[in-house]
Amino acid sequence: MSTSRGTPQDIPVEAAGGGTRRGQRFGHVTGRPPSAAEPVCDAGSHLVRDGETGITYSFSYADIVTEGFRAIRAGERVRFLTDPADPGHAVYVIRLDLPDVEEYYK
Amino acid sequence: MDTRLLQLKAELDDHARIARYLGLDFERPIRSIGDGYPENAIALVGKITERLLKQLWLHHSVPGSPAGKTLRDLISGCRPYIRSHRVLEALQDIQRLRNRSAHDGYQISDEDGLIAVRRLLDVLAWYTSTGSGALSRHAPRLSRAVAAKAEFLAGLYVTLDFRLARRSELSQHAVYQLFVRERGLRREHVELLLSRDAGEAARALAAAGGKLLQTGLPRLTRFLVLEEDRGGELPAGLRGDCQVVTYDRFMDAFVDLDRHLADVAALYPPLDPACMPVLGDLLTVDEQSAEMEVSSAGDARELLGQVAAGGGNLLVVGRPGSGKTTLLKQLVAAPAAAGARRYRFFFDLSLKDRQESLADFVTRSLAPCMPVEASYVFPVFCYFTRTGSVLCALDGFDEAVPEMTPAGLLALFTEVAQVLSAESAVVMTSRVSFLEDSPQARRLLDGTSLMSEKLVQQLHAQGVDPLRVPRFSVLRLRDDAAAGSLLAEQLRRQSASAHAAATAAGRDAAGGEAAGACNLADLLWWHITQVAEPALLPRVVEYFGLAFLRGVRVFTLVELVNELGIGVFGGRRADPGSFRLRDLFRLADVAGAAVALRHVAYQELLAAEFLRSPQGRDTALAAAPHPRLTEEVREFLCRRSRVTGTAGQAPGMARDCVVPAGIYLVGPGHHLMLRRVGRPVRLDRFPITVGQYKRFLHAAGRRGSAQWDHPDMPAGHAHQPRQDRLPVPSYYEDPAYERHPAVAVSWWSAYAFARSAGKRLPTSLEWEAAARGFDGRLFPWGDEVDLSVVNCADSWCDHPLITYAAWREERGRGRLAKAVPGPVDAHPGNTSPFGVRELSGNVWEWTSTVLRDPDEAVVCGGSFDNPYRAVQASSKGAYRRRGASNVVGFRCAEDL
Repeated sequence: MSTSRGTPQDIPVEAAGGGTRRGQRFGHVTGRPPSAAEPVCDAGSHLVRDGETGITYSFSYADIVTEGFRAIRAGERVRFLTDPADPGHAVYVIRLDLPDVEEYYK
Repeated sequence: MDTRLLQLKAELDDHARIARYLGLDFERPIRSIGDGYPENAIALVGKITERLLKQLWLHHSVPGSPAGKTLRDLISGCRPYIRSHRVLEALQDIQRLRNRSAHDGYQISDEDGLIAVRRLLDVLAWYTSTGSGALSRHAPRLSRAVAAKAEFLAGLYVTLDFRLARRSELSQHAVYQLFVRERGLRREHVELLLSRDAGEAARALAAAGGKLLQTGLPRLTRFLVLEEDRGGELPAGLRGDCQVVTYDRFMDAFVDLDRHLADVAALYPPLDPACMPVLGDLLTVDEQSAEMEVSSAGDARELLGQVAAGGGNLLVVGRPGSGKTTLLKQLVAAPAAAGARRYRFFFDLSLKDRQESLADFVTRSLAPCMPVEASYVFPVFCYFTRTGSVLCALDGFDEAVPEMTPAGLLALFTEVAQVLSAESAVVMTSRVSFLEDSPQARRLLDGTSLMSEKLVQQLHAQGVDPLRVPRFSVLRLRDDAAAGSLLAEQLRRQSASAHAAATAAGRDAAGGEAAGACNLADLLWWHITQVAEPALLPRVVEYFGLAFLRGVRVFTLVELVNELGIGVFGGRRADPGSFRLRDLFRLADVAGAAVALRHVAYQELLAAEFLRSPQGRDTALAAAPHPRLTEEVREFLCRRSRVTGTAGQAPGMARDCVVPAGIYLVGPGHHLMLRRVGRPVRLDRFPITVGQYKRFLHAAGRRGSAQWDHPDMPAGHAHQPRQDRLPVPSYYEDPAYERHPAVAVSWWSAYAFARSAGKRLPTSLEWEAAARGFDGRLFPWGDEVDLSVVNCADSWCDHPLITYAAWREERGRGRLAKAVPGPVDAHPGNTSPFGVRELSGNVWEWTSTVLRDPDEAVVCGGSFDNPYRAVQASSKGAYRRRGASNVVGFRCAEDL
């Protein structure tokens, strides 16, 4: 749902303990593909840059793992999986910077 | 200084074998300190430590390459293979010192340099003294099995602060070790002769020329440790003060196992032999590929038996009463099967004081059966556990958390991680899983017991990752709704017996009602009311219920007399046998001076009962800033409110959409809170409709909206709905949608609408309180899943979706493509205790609560697009205030 197309973040993101665990990748959401930046395009397309390899993957809003509200912003840290059968596409995208529960009640 | 440096240099020389093998210069840090550059010494110690850890990494075949790894990562990777928790502490100290040294603002002193070298020596001493070849590739003359046993025995004495003074490999099957411990002027010695049998020991001693065991050392303890004791006469040098033990019973010198097991048995009610089978699903991790797999585990008892025999670390996750504790008690109490670990420790973590560390709790629990000084109880326990010499059962992990906050969980898990290793056999039980989110973890747990991602990240930052522990698996006990839990089954049988006995005696059929009940809260309440006299019941609820909310689980008899009066003891004698409520309790210490409720569920029910009254909620909030609130307390509160006819509403309140001032139970199941609504507020009965919003647009079009707009609203912001985000293009034009919720409007527009109506947006707390009432229900209508009263993704698929994976699959099939908002009055059953309609599902609703990032506001309640779990009353999300979504609407509130 973000429309900004910020440059990839330089902050290193990786699993604590180094590298990736169990095929999981860590990265930052960098924005939307150029075509999706227009309002008429799929509102669910986003880009994530792998913090270790620098490779950029796309994902749809349905790939964000939650049973609840789906929204994501450029700059957010995420953990995700890649699918060899669908290169270039990130799946199982988990947001890492969600607010603490108590913040929702302030 | 010079003397100390010389002393350190001499000690480092003892590890020349390691230095030679790894090509290290141990003297360089000493020279750096001598030259006045302690920061260089610390950097060198760091480098040496990295080299040692890389060698350990390769020696133990840790998955992946150690090349390029940081010191922190190397420690984390090698942690499961290091037997001594003191070595781990030394490594962490070195890491800390190096981090400080690299920090510009921190002054490094000579003392810091000396500490770094000293901690390096602690690491080296372990590997040299235990005879381990991990760092030196020392190939002992001993057979592999004997070498392993000698290393275990040596490790035990090094843990007790002895150092190796002499070691002689007498043959392939016999080894002599002499240890010494200095305390001030006192020196203690231990001699260990490990051999296959006494005859071989004699031959080995003779071959050594009679020079061993001739020592006239003071304070000497001498052991002949045999593979098997075939009887017969001891060698001459071993007669007298020598203790002869077999290797598999050597630990008897350190653990009175029978006493420990007797203590465990004394503290818990006898097991019901007619227990139901406990079924579960198992998540395992492949150590090399790191792939996770979920499979059916069958009967959980068999799986635990395999851990007892073959080792491994197992986390058992299940709801209260599902049989976790029973499984553990059976595992520990049962006679050890052939080949299984004989030594078994059981810890009920719910008995740990809130402020007590795990080390102190273990020391307190084991000190009576471990004849070592108290300061060594925990290190020895850790050593036994990390070497896999004992089976360690840790029951009720989640109950030991001082505060149910991420920091509290993190602190406890970091402590417990001290006993988890590649060799350990540890079984833990918990209601929450401590697993990071993954498709397999969600499949195992249905998302209900997952930790917050933030906490998982904190654990990893501390180098604690359960799934990095080799041989770690998670067993989830199945919830069989039809069969109920083990606890419920036991209570059902008990009530049926009481009913039958009363009927036979011609009395009122006590228990008749409970005998047919399935609900755990009903059964527990029945039992409590059977035991506690009516006059005493309110005080029981108040005292034990409030205690649970304050995190107190153990009660001394003196406290019971003071709080409940001497009358709760028969014969006015304060002993456990005279306690009138003893059927609800168990002993909490072997001395019989303290008791605890026999199952935590009893106390949770009393806490729920206590919270039913406004005074109770007030007292709870005053007594503890973060009352201990579990999902079971919430569930019991909802159930008790329902069966007593006080469900969710204050007495006398009409269903006029007014949320009274008061304290409400809010938050998701893993983070429940008591929060106060300060003054009464009336919410709109329905979400704002398309028709209402069109009238607002009309008014704003005529007169402008400046008088209603938020002062921070971005310039140029329009209140027109975002056309490209509408569920159907004609949503705001077709009269068929007049009664549908207004969507695709920003927070700024919702704010302006509310102002135009002389109202405001509700806070997220007011919104949730309106939905849950006073009983903390999951949905506005109660706790039950009912697809007929809510517009959510499940209702468009005609079956429950529950999880993300199921939702994703249905979406992939296109089954959700037709899901849209519906009329706001379509579900009369979607009504809260205060009469507010359609709070759950249909559309998320804006609230006035703005997050720390002021660009975002809280939305509540879930939408037509979400699976059932997301339309709970506690469901919340954060959305940027300028955003306009087809799934977000709003309603207004007014102060009274």
